[in-house]
Amino acid sequence: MDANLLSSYIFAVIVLNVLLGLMAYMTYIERKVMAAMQDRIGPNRTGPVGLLQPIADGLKLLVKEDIIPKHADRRIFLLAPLLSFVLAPVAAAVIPFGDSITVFGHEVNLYVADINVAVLYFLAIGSMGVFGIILGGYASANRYSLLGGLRAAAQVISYEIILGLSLIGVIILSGSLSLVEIVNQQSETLTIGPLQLPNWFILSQPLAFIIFLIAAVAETNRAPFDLPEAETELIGGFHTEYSGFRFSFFFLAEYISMIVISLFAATIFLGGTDGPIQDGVWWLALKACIFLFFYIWLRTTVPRFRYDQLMGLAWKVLLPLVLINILLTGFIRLWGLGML
Amino acid sequence: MLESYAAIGMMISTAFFMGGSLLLLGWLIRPSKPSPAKEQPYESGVPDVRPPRGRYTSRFYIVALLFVIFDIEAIFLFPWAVAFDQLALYGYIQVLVFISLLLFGLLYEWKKGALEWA
Amino acid sequence: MPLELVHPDWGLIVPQLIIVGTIIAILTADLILPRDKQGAVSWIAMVGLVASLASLLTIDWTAGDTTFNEMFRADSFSLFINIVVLAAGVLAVMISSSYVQSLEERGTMPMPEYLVLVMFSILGAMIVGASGDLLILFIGIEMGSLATYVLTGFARRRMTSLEGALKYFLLGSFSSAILVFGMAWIYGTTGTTSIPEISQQVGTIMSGEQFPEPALLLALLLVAIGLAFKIAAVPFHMWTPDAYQGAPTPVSAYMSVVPKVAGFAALVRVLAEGLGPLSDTWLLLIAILAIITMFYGNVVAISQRDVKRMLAYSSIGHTGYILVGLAAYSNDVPIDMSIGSVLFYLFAYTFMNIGAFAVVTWLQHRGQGVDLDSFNGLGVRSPLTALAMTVFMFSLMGVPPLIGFYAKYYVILAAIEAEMIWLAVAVVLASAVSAFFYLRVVVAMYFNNPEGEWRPQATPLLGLGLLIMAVGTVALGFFSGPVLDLAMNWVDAFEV
Repeated sequence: MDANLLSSYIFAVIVLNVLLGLMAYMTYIERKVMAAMQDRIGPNRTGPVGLLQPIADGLKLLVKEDIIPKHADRRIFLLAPLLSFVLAPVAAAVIPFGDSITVFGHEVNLYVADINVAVLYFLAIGSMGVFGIILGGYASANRYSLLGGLRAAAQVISYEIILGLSLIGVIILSGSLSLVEIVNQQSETLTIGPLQLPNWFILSQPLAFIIFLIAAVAETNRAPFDLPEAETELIGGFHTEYSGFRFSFFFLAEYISMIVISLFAATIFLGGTDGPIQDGVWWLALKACIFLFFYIWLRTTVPRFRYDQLMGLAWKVLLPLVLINILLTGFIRLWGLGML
Repeated sequence: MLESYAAIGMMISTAFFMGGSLLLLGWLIRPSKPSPAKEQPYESGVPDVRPPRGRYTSRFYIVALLFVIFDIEAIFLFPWAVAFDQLALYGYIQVLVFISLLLFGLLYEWKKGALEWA
Repeated sequence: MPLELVHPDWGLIVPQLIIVGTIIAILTADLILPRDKQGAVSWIAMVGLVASLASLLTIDWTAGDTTFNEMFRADSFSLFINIVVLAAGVLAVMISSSYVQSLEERGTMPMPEYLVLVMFSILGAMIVGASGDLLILFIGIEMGSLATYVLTGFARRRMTSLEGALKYFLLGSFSSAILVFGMAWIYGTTGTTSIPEISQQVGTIMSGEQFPEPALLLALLLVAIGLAFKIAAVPFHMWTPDAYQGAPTPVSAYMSVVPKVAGFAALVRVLAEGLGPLSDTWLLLIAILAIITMFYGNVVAISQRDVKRMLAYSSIGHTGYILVGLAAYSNDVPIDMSIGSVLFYLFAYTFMNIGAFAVVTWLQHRGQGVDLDSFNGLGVRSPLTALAMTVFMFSLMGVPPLIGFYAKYYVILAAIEAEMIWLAVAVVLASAVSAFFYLRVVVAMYFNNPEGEWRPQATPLLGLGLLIMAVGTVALGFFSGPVLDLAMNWVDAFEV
């Protein structure tokens, strides 16, 4: 194995483990933040200010019995959570965490892979994540699960289109599908009169950014779009029949997807590792944290959508908007280039 | 370039390995005492009588069809967006026609009630 | 740095673009018009079809120009196919508007959707006629077929309609798969999907070889089988009777012509043009297919009481006659009747066959069934309609001086010129057999007493369509020369 590949691989393992760790504390932070917003205390018994709570939760789930319902399609039932769990962090492979650094005299790139179709790769892996949910819901042989799986499928494929199309404007401006290239372009400075602004795409594509944000929440099945697991009507939906560690895999996958898609949004729209002083991975982390906070904030403030509202929002509001955004972006770009 | 994909492939297999070993660990330490009551599908306390995988609304099917149409649209738009500056006005007008046709199709579906969920 | 873009010559596809525009106009009208006013869309369709026909004049067809990287061709062959298909489209719209609105459980058949499907099918056939590439050819065939499957099942409350549609759809999709498989073999052997290039490649492969490559033979067989399904040649005709019987009558009329024209256009494009150098191999295949088809269709038609079913078998028989024209193809003779006779036959067939189905539709509007008994006494009840039906029956039979006679005459002439006397004899024999069941309809109309309830109803557009077709069947028989000249222009198109 040559050195480059080895360093990429080591970096990949680090990314996987960091994501897992972050995910664990993401649950903790979510509970704390939600508690604060609802004027409660939140977890505070395990460890100082409840800091050991995620570890306790993980251990508890690990030792719980794994129940397989009678009519379940066993093989698919057992495999589906694993599929969800594997696909969620793998999407992070194309996200650039910074410029290359030198470790032990060897140059290491701070990304797993810089492929020329990175955006498409991210969308592809992101939408494959739902397979685990559909298969799990189907294999459970439970009415609620099946409905949850179907809802997840319909929801994800509807918002998948919005998500993909909202990025077209950015790609028109950047002329590349590589995330490294997109970040490089955003680190340039934009001068409008006396103002010195970073060339972040959120400034040139505000509408696309808002649409992307909504679609990203729906794509990760989070509140207020958490209909596949709507407790009040579907008793947990696709994971009704899951218990023990397999259940926690779905849980893990959901939170990891949130983190990964936040990283992606920060990379595409907020300039990634670009910052006012000393570019670096900390800027990316800060930006991703803003998105993650937004996720939690949404969950505490907005009630769940009804299913017809959910589909109506995608097809009747966001889809026309996003298509218009593409045409507008193209028009302005042509104008700017003097090609009209 | 191919090396990048090798890295991604290794990442996927590592993720599989991590997940698998976690499951294996759980399998080693967790109890397993199945009983008929536990294996009942959860039906909010009602005994299950009907087959669980019954018929469901065909709306899901329509959504799937719509998805195929618009996802193909997206696939056509990505290469155009990448080569936007080279294709210039001519490419833009073609995409304009293309998107207008699709928007018309969307309007038709809308008016025909294919987007109503009830 | 702008890319070097190939700008397609949009002028060459104006007829097709007009059809696309008409489809969008119909769909828009569907959204705007209230439900009870939607009958008006048939006028949009007619205007679109006539405009498309008129736009054929704007193109110089003799130049044989191509566009879209030679995938799309405007040559004399595609001109003729366009004329036949568009004419059939106008006639089909004329005879179907009243049927769709008032028969088959009022209101279950939305007019705009019906017309959109018809227009898509027409567009598909036009694309097949103009294709210079296997891919475009396949897209055209599928566009037409898919629309026709739905049309067959358009009377969605009637089981026979659904049954016919399902059979048609299943067999049709199998045949499409076989066709694509054959095309894949052609591509594998020649390395191209462009039809003229295939011809060159096959010519190169064949030069100096006594027997063609097995791969090419396989490709030939698969393509021939796939297309034989589409034109309903025996033994690939199984779907035809059920589909024709089950479909709403105007749809039967329509699908007995346009998909068949598309199928023959594809056969000519692929076999005669693309695999022309292989003609020694496929001529015999087509000739045998022709003989089986014409005899099977005409013999089985004798035992049918249901007129739609009888016309279905009769259309199988006519497929056989048209195949004779194709079987007479040769790439040696400078003046070759073969493809010209095929084209002329398709043209003639459009008028007489849609006409025959139109009379059935006309009877259905007056409370009659579709079996032979409902023709009883038509000569008394409506002498004009009976006369029109007589003209169509005699023309289908091949009685001079009607157009059907000339169609058969040219096919026989082509067979004789190609020194296939036995094929010519077979056509004559099969025609003699067919006289039996065609004449039976005429006998029922003039020599039987009227029976059953008779509900007079005004169907002006249908009546006008009947008039046009009857007059056309007679008049074009007298003036068949110019039409044949137009059809014979295919020779320029296929200079390979």
